[in-house]
Amino acid sequence: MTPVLPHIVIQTISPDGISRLALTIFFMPIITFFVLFFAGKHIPAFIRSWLATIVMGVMFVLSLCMHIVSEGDHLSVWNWFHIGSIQFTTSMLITSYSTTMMIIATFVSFMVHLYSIQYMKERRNHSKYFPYLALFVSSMLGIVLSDNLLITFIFWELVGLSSFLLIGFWYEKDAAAEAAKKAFMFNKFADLAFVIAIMMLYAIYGTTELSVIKSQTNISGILHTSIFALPVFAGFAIWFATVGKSAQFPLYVWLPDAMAGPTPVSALLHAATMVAAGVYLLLKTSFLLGGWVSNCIVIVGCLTALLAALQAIRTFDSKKVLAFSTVSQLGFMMMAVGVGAYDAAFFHLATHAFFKACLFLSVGAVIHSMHHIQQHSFSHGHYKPFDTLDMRLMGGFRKKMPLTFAAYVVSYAALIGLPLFSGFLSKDAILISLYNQASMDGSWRWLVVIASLTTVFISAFYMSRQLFLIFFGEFRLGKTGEIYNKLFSEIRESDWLINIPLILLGVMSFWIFFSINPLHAQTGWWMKESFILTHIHNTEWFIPLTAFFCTTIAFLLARSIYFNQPNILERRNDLLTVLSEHNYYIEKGIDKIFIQPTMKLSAGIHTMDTCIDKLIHLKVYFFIALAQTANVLDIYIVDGSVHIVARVSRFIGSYFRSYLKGEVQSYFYFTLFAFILILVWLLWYQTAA
Amino acid sequence: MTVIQFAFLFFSIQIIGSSLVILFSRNVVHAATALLSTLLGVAALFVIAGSDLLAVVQLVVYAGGVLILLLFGVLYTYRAPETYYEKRNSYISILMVVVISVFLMLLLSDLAFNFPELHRPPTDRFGITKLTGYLWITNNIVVFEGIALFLLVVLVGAGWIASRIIELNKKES
Amino acid sequence: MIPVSYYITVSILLFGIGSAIVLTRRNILYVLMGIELIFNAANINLVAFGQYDKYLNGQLFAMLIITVAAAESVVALSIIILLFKKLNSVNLTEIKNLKE
Repeated sequence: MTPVLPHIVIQTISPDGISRLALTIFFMPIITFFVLFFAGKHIPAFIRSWLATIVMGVMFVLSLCMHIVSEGDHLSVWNWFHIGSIQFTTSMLITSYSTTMMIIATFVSFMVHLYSIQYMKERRNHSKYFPYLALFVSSMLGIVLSDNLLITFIFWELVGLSSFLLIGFWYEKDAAAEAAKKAFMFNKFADLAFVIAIMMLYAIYGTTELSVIKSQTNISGILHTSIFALPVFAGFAIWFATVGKSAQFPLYVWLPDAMAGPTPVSALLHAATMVAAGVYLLLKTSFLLGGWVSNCIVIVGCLTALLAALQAIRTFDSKKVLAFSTVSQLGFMMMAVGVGAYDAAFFHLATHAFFKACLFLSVGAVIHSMHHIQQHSFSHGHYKPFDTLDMRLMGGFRKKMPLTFAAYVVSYAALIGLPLFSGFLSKDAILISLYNQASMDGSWRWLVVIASLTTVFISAFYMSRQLFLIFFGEFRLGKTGEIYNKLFSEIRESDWLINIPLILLGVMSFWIFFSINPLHAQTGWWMKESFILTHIHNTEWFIPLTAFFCTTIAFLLARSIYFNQPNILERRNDLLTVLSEHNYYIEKGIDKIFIQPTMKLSAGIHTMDTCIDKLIHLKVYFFIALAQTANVLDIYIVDGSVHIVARVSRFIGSYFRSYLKGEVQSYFYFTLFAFILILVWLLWYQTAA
Repeated sequence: MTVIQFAFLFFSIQIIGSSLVILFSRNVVHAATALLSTLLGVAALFVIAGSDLLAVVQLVVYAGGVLILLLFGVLYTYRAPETYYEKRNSYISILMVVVISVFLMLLLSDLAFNFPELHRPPTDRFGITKLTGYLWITNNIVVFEGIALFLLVVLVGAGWIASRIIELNKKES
Repeated sequence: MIPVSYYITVSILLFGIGSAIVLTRRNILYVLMGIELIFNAANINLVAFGQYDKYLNGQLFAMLIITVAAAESVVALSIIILLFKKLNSVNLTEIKNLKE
């Protein structure tokens, strides 16, 4: 059999100092996971949590050192295994993207670990929480460091697994178990595309090493010859994998439901790191994206951003609002990837990680207090459970938890894109790149620009809504019962373990860490030093000004509606609410399009199978009838002929026997008679003859 | 006529007469006695025909064995003589005798009247015993042994039947 | 000596009488006697013709017949006794067990 795959021999490269450091950082959470998973029950909870947290802290410090020291790219290649003569290698690539990503991942996870120590103390916590977190962090680092698509896929799946385990951490709650299943299913469906992409790339290039593939691909050249070439489809398949992991339309519906997990998990996984893994993967495989694939990415990203933002307007669950906000911002990142502004996308990824984590953690602190109120009301005998996440029941937390409020406001400002904050820089970078692309290519891209500006408006609106509902006004839960007011007055600021992450993450939302100039990202060291600029960004004042304008109007609008809202809001009954609640009927659509036909098909096959069974029965009956006929023939004809012969003999015998009546003397008479006959024959005829 | 012929006539009349007695007698014991007389007459006829050994065998076996057995049977099954009275046709008997005899006579006439005469029996001086014995062992040994086997079988069979009957009788009683 | 035809006559007569006894008598014992007479008739015939044989075949055969007849009468008698025990009669009109 002639080999169809191109046979490539890859040189192994042993790791240098920086790569060894990266490997050390990578293996630390793996060891933590194994130790805590198998011995966790026997270690007291105090040691468990602090052990995990300290490990995270050390990892963060090491990655910071690595980022500062490393320059350029460090590639290491090892031999993995071989099948016959085909060699499989693994590789690790450390670029400035990787080190930055490692810093983000380790820093946010360190903050989340600190937060979890306090947060999980009072909730139902079994010994597997920190091991699962360690598993997640190690898988995330695996995705970041790996340069081989197969290894990336392995860690991709592991990240999905840890997400499943962590979302369904409180598995006694039905909602959590369902949400975990949903997350896993949607991710798995998208991962099918990942596998197809791996297969396609292996078939074309004979390897899954990204550096090798990159050196051999010229996507624009391929697109010139034919737009349906295989590498283009491979790029499309990889993008489709990120539709699941990074929650694009229509596969984003698992992310709002995933808020049933603990808040620190939501902060780490579904705000900062896991959902960003998709964007990171696209950045690594950016050489495969071009032409119609990029257009597809932009359109889907635009749709995602807009629809998720619309859903957030009508949501009363505080964590779900943040989830929709995440989806919306992911849409922004994908739009940037689509137009080719990879550095802008990564910038927004980084800033989003910090301010979204901060938002989640601060909202988590508020929820924590609400939970305390509920517990105390139960212990006072007032047994009436309420949804601790519901924003309509909160209010006036500004005075009670000022630090939390401050952290929230800072990250909220970054999310909206107010100047002097990090979000302003990154978001405007994206908007500017979109505008540039539109002004170059025209036509439908202007719609994209308008849609993204609308999304900015809506984002500002719903975030302000959340701000006013939670932190301003009166404590609306107190309206339902006087005991709540009393308990509310006893709320204090959270523990220092909760506050330190809030402070640190809030501080990261300022502009200083990303650019000296608060208004221009292009001149900042982030964009200049860390990335290779692929496009020259023109200095544009138009876009930032428009965005700021939209933001302000939205803020004023929200303030006018929600600022001093005394009543518990009712659910509005209009089209948008219905669409939001049903997730734009995505799940119903999937059910109708895919699940019902499959069920009908299997029912049809079942009936066909029953028919076949009936036919077989018919055949069996036929043969039984045949056997019965043969039996009858055998009895009556074959045996019958024998019986007839016997009967004839008996008949003849009985006829002659009837002459003998049992008298002995008659027997003698007959004998004598016969004797005389014999004599006659002997003597007369013999002698005569 | 010579003595031999006279003896022959006498003994043949004895034979025929005794058998007629058997034929017409109503008393079993009379019949048995007549049978004895017949057998004796036959033995004498054997002597006249030149086989003294056979005459003795006849006397020993028939008269001294079979007859005695028959008498035992008569003894065992004896009933009062009145029960033996049977109304029967004697004419049929005579007729039957005549018919059969005449018929056979006609049949065997060729044999009867075409055989040569003999003047003296071809025996040795001391009778035919030695010669018979010698012939049994040499010429006719197969028949001899066959007959011996036959008698053995009969004896064993009779003994077995008798034993079965004894068991059955014991069961019945 | 005596011509063989005389022997044959006697033999035939004896045979006829013996057959008549067998055919017409009602008592089994009479029948047995008749059978003995028949045997003797045959014997006479055999011995008569045996005179003319160098190897005395006739007489030897007659001896055999005597033997066989004796054995046969033994068996017949035992059967008769059994029958008598079963049926309490020696009347041939009553003994019809051989009938089908």
